[in-house]
Amino acid sequence: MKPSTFSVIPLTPAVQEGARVMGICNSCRYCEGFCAVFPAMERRLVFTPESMHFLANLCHNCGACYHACQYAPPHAFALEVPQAMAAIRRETYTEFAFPRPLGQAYQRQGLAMSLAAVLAFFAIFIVGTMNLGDHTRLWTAPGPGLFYEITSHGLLVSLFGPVFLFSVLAMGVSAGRYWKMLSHASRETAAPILEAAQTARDVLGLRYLDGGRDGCPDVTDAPSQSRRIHHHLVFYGFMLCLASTSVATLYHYLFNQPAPYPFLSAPVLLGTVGGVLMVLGCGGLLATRAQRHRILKRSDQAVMDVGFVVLLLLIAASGLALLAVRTTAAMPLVHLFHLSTVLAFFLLMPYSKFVHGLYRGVALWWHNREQRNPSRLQLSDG
Amino acid sequence: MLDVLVIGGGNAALCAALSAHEAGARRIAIYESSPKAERGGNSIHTRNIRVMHDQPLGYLTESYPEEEFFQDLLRVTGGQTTESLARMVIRASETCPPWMERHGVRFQPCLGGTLHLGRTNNFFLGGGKALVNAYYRAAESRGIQVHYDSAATELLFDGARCLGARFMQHGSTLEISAKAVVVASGGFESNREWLREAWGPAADHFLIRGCRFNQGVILRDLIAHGAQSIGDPTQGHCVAIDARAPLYDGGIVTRIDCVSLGIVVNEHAQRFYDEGEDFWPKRYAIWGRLVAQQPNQIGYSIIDAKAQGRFMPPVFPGETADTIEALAVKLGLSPEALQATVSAYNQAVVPGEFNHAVLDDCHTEGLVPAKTHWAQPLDTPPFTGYPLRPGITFTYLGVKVNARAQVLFDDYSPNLFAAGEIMAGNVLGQGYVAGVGMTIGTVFGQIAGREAASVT
Repeated sequence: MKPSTFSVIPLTPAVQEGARVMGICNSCRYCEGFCAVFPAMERRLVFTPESMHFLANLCHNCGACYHACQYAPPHAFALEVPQAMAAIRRETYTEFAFPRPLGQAYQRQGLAMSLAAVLAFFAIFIVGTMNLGDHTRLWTAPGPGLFYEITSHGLLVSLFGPVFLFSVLAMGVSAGRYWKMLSHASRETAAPILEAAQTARDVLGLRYLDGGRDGCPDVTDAPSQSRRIHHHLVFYGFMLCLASTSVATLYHYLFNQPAPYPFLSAPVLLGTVGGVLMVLGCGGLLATRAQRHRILKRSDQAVMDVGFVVLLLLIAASGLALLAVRTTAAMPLVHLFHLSTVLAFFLLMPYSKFVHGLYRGVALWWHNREQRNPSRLQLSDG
Repeated sequence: MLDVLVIGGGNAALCAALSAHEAGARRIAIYESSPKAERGGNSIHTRNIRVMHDQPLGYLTESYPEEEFFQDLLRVTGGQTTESLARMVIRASETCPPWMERHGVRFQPCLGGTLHLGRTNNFFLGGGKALVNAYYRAAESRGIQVHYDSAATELLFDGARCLGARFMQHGSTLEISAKAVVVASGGFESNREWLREAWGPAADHFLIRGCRFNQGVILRDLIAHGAQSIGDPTQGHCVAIDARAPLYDGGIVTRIDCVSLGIVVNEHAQRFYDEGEDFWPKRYAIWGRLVAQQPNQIGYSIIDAKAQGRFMPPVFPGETADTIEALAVKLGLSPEALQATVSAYNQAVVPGEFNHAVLDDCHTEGLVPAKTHWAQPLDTPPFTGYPLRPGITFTYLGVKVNARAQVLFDDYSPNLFAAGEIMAGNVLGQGYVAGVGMTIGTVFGQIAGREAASVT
């Protein structure tokens, strides 16, 4: 079958600008060593909307190419590759969202939706808890059962289970659509195991946040590892927190040992370390975002970027606070607030900045497949 | 009073300032004529440095011995080189990559489409602007002062000893004195008046591939003060680039790499040179002059669909049409004349086995001028045309120096040194071979800085 040339992705101004930029970059290629975007670009001569949604999601918004660009402003070509790519990623996040209207709504009102979700869940939990019986339970130090005296295990499972499943399903649909777009645009021979291994290495090591060698420019044109380190802290902190919940679930069902667990238990240690890492990472990302070069922070993406990191920070901080106050009268409210942040996070996951990892992972996988295949172009300057 | 005053802000100037610091000088200042956002002169458009090596060195494969490098230089310059200086530069080039790395420059494997340079040329990660940025960071971290928007207007002399220089900075005049002065302020290719002196009215149609700041002010001032000149005063490195390129700073993307895959005609739709004489990297440097010799200094590279996807993509899309006549109309050429030229060419093509990677046997017979390789009939629509203009990269005229980079007047100046394009003519009197400008600039920059630091 011949690769389809029929375009289903809209040709928006952002995509047009991206195609203009890539057309110039493709004649230059000096940035080839920085990241995956440029080697992927070099396999193309025409920049369709599909290829732009692919290239844009390979971009880590590191800025190395902007500072190295001989055609950046004040040059008449006015190339701002990171800006152009960020604008298209924004469109990826809505174009492939499932259901799409939720993605569009989040793009417009991301911060409001995050806060509204947290507050709504918080209110529901409080009202629910009060209706279940004695409202003094909300400001009284709990008994030995701790959390489950406030919210029963069954209630948590019946709330979090469906929300989590829905989000995973929605993101599965998004990833599937995105992959379909990539694989329909060109045919490449697959080597799934090798590709998976390479993609895992690229993602887990944030390979392309190294600016080709010493790091990515952040505040000035000087290479820095700050963003990579902070992202690692958030990512691995998040993973430890997930691990904590998973281990606790095993304890609960397999060994019939319900929470609370002592401080020196696997779930609490994993969660504590993970929470601390997340707080450090989120704090670092927020602090350095403020100082980042203008080119690396689109104003129309501030809400999405900042809203997402703030929500992660709230989850981690409230989780740590919960550990600190779990035997005091403050525990019930902190507990309910923490649950609300986690639930809001899961619900908004498919529409929030969380999906940057989803599309980037899929794009990197496709890139690794492409790179294993010889280019169809026979360009020579001879 | 400064220890070392560096005039210019490109690769050679930065190498001089950093090397002066390495040699112990501490009061060092760089005066760059451009604003900060446009700093670096033509170095921001470079991408590699040609380096001699006897065994694989970093990303450089195999070996590139001194003699081979020198023979390459001899061939392109037609002997217009100073052998002692050329050999010194070549030998020193081997030590450049580690020195550059120490000052923050990073290298990468040769870029896509440049495999033929993988043995001889070391590519900068991110290209020349990344290199320039790294050097400015290194300079700032070493306490070297950097002044932007400061164009040198003249040098101040006491005999052959240079006392300093006068600058125009934000509309006012400024005099800086120094124990030693390094001039690394480039050539004169951005100075239209001067180009006109060298080329006549044809110069009005030249595009400048580099920055707008290389006005040759200090070069002219030096010659006026009796500095001896070297290098062809009427020539520059001139390639055929897309006629739609911006007047300045078009850089690498404005090249048109499909000349050898089709035909090139002038504004009368007539061919004027063998498009398939040799591999394009060996021939692109003559096409600027060829186009400059045509009426109104314009040419048109014309290809058919068979050539698509075989050459580096040009920055501007070409004009396309399904017939030669329609393409001629779009390009502003006479449809009848272009059709006649293409027909004559197509009929003269002798069928052969097309192979762009070798000097193949596809050629014309009985056609003047002949196309000696890669000649295929233009018969597969759509047809595409790109307009060509001469694009000037750098000029050869410079000041004579010795192996210590001292500028020669009646005698060598004790404290005035030159590096980069302003003296490159000592080594590269004409012609061009990729990456040699950066070799000359880096080696002479280091020498000039070191020598300047030792002036007492």
